[in-house]
Amino acid sequence: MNSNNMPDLKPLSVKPLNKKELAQNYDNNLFNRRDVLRTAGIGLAMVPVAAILSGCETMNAMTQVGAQIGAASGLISHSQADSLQKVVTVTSKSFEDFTPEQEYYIGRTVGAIILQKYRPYNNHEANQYLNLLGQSLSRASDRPETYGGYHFLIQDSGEINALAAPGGLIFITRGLLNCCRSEDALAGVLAHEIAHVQEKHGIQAIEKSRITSALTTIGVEGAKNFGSSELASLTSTFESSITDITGTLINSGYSRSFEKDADLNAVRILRRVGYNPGGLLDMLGIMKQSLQPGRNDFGQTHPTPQDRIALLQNAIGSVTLVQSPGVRQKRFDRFRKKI
Amino acid sequence: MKTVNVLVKKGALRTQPSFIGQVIADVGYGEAVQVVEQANGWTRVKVIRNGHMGWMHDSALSDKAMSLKSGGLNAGQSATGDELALAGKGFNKQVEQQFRSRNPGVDFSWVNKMEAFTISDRQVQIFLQEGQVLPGGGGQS
Repeated sequence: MNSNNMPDLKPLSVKPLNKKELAQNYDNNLFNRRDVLRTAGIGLAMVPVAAILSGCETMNAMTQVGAQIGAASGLISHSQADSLQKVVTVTSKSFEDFTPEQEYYIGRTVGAIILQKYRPYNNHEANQYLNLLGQSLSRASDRPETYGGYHFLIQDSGEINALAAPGGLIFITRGLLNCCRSEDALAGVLAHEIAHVQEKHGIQAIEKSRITSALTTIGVEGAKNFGSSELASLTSTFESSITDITGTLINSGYSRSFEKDADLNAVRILRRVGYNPGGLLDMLGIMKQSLQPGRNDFGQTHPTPQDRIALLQNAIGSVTLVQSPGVRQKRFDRFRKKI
Repeated sequence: MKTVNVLVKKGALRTQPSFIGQVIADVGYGEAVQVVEQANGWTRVKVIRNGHMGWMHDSALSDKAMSLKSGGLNAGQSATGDELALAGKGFNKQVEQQFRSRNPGVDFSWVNKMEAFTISDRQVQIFLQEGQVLPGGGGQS
């Protein structure tokens, strides 16, 4: 679910579940979560009670159902259930409450899962060039400093794709590199991904109820009552949060407004550094011809290249042909030969 | 004078409010700094521990003072949930380790290799100069 589709927080009156309903609820949640994880290329070994809590639609429903399930199933005591309800009455949290360090740990795991979809392309020189370009651009973004910094990696796939994990791990496939005819074009692709990190689009894909759950589980009362199982609960919320993000990045894609935002911020980054934003248009023109329908790539997760070209033409003014200085084009051609 | 904290693993303290500015020192996670002045996304700070003065980008700093000690693992008794989160709690290394033990098939080795791809300011300057890319300064419109 993306951020435009997040449920509002509103109180729900929930009838206590009987044993059969509890089992049914558990199975449904387990199935749904595993289904998403399977799609994202990952299987999970276990889903404890906290995962059920985090899968519910609203905070109040989550607290009530979760506490009831926990207490009824004997997994937590009634006093713990009461405590849980108290903890969740804390003001709801937003993605902005994640610290850069928390975002970093989310991003590392999202990155590891992205690497299950496409294997890394193990060419040091090519990855070094990508990082020289990418880290030059990230320094000029509105968010040049993240907890762990920006790092870039080529993935060994002919599919056309680029993915940014929260905190600054950015991936690009050989297929998308082949849509770039100049360093300016590649700079455009990387600046778009940097903009997703800058605007924290990734962590906004986490369901709001889960964010509140994550950030209140660590509250004083929860810590006091749950002790070591606090970690198990937090890890389950972590798993669900990762699934929200990878499901969005790999399958459903961000909202059109986030993509527009990323394209417009990319233009700003490119202009600050001194690259021609027309390179992004050039790349989109080639992508338009190269995308094949039905693939789980940019064609599925992004607005059409035509729509993006129209938006960018509006932002840039007139379309300028990209003619990089000879020295820049030469080094880009050397890079392309390694791909 | 307002005090804030460094929120990134290694924040750069620079001579100028720009990524062209030379790095005076690295300031670690949780370190408290005093705000001297702010301009265009940059803050001139004084590092409380050693008195070093310089510019840091706003994205490396918290909005307000946080009650945590350097190293980020020690929260005070009166700490709120937010402060606990900042003090190394929440989604942290321990949670990642727990996730990895539950999901042994998820391989982090290339994530670690990626994090080793670091480019210095000097390398950026040379890369942009050699490519005849004229930098606009970074962090500003």
